[in-house]
Amino acid sequence: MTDQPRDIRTADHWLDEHGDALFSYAVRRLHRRDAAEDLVQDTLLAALQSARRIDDDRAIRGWLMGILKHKLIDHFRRESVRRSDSLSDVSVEPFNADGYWNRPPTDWFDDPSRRAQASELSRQTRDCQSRLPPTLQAAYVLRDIDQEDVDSVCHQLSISANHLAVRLYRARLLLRECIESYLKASRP
Amino acid sequence: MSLFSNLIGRLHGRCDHAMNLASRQLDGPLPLVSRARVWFHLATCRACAQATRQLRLVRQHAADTEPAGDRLDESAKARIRSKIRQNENPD
Repeated sequence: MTDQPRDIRTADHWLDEHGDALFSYAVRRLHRRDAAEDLVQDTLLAALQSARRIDDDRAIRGWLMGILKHKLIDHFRRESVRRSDSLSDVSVEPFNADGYWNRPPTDWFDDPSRRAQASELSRQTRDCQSRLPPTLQAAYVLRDIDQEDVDSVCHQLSISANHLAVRLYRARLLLRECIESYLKASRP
Repeated sequence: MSLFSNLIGRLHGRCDHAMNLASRQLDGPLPLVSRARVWFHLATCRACAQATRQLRLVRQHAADTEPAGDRLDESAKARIRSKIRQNENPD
C-alpha cells in the first residue's frame, strides 16, 4: 500500500466498491448526472467524517446508502430555495374555481399508434419528475419511487401525514399534466 | 333544484376533492365515507376515472423503471477522489 492516510485509502475503496451503486441510486432520483456525482462525493466525505466506523463490508453499502438518502433530502431542501424553473411555474391549474377540470383528461392510448408510445411513458415520467418543485419531488421520490411507507417518509421530511398527502397529490397531478402535455404535443 | 338532484350533486362532489381522495387512496385505505365518495364520483365522472387510472399508471412506471447501467465514469471518479483529498488535506 502507498503512504496515503488511511481515510483516503478507505474513501478510494468505498468509491471503487460502492460508487456505482450510490451513483445509480442518485441518478434515478435526480435524473441529473452532475448533481448525482456531487451527492456521491458529499456522501463519501460525510462517511469519512462520521464518528461511526463500520468494518463489516456487507453493512457498509447500507450505511452509505443511508447517508446518501439524507444528502438527497438536503439537496431537495436546498433546491426548493434556489430553483424557479419547475413545473409549478409552467403548468396550468388543472381545476377551475368550482373544482371541476379546466381541460378534461384525454385518453393517452386511444388508438393503436399511441399504444406503441407506452414505452415513451417511462422516459417522460422521469423527465417530468425531474422538473417537479423540489419539495414535491422529495415526497414523490421517497413514496412513489422508493415506495417507503408513509410514516417513514413523514419522519424523514419532518412533515405530518396530512401534509405529505397534499404534497403527493400535487406532485402526482403535476406529473399527469406534464405527461399529457407531452403526449398532446407529440400527437401527429 | 329537486331534492333528488341536490342529493346526487352532494354525493357527486367536486372533481378536485375526488382526485385528492383518489391520490390518498394510493397511500392507504380511506375511511368508509370517503371511500364511498370516491367510488361514487369515479363511477359517475369519466374525466376523474380516466385521471385516476393515469395516476396509477404513472406511479407504476415510476416504481418499475430502473435505468440500466448508470455508472460513474473514470473522470467522475477522479474528480471525486481529488475533492476528497482536498478535503482531507486542505493545505
